Amino acid sequence: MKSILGPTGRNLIRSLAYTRTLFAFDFDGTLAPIVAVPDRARIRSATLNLLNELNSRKDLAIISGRSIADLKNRMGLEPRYVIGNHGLEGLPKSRFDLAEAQMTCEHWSQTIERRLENPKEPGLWVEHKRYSLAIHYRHCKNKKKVRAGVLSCVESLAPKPRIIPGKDVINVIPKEAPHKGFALQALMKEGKYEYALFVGDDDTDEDVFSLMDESILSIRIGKTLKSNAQYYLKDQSEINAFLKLLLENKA
Amino acid sequence: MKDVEALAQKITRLGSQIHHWNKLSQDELGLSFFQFHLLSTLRKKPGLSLQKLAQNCSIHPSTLTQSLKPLLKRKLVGMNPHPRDSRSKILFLTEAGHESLMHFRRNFATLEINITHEKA
Repeated sequence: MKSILGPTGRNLIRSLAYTRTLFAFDFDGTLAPIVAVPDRARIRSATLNLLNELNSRKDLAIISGRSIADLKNRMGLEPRYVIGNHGLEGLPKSRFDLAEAQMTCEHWSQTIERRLENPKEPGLWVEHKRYSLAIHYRHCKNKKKVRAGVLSCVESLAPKPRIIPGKDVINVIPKEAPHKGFALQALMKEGKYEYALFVGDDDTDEDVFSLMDESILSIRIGKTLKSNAQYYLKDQSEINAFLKLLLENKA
Repeated sequence: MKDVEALAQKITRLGSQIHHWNKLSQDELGLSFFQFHLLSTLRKKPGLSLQKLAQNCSIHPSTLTQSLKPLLKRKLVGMNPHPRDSRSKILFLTEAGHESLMHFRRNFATLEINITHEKA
């Protein structure tokens, strides 16, 4: 894994000027820094200025675990594509049954609330995102114990969900739902893009990184040997340097 | 037996014709058709490894290494270490490579007429 801001990465980014590329980003931890209260997550003004500049020149996609309604309220830009709920919401020509996913999530939500109710762990809360759930435990005292309890709870749900642990959060998603990797490839096909670049920071972004698609340049926020991404940015604060690098391309 | 001989003759002629077309495009447009194909593939998929580029172009990696040498020397293609495999390299199109590709595209029509003429 190499830094995308190093000589190899810079050369590669320069060569994107000659190909029809879709520029795709995750939201939390990528464009916006991780904050203690997820509802307060915002893109910093300097990042937003760079993104808006890029958006005026190139096609952008935001692919996030948040719902589309939530994303639209907090993004401050209008990219060509906004995909929510880890890839299952907002996908053009998707055959995935959203109504069924919504019903399943309502059922799961009631079950989880009932099971985690007694005794209710302070700081633990369930975010209902219509088509998926996120169980947050960032503010719990004994995170390890709470996480184990939540995992045991969601593993016994019916129908069985796809469970993706994230940063102090457990994501619960309908099993057959399109994931971020599927979503990105579908957008590339829909918009006839020859190439895509994707930046993400979390385990759900590994759905893109693990595609090993030679038409996708994958960049992870935070270097880790566990990731399948090709390149990395040291941390979220490097996103501005990266966006500036993209803007150096005149074509 | 006769059929095999006829086939061998046709293949030999075709090989010679391909060689002629490649030389013609190289002389007149600065790139052989094969080199154009390599650059074109790298334009669409920047960052391919040598092995992947060979696969994409349906050729053996050793043939590719030879074909790449003049493109690297003319700085039409750049080569850097692979991000995940220290034994491998990745390739990408340079600005000069892109200009060369565009020049070929813009002027190809005249060459095509010549090729049609040669065939006749």
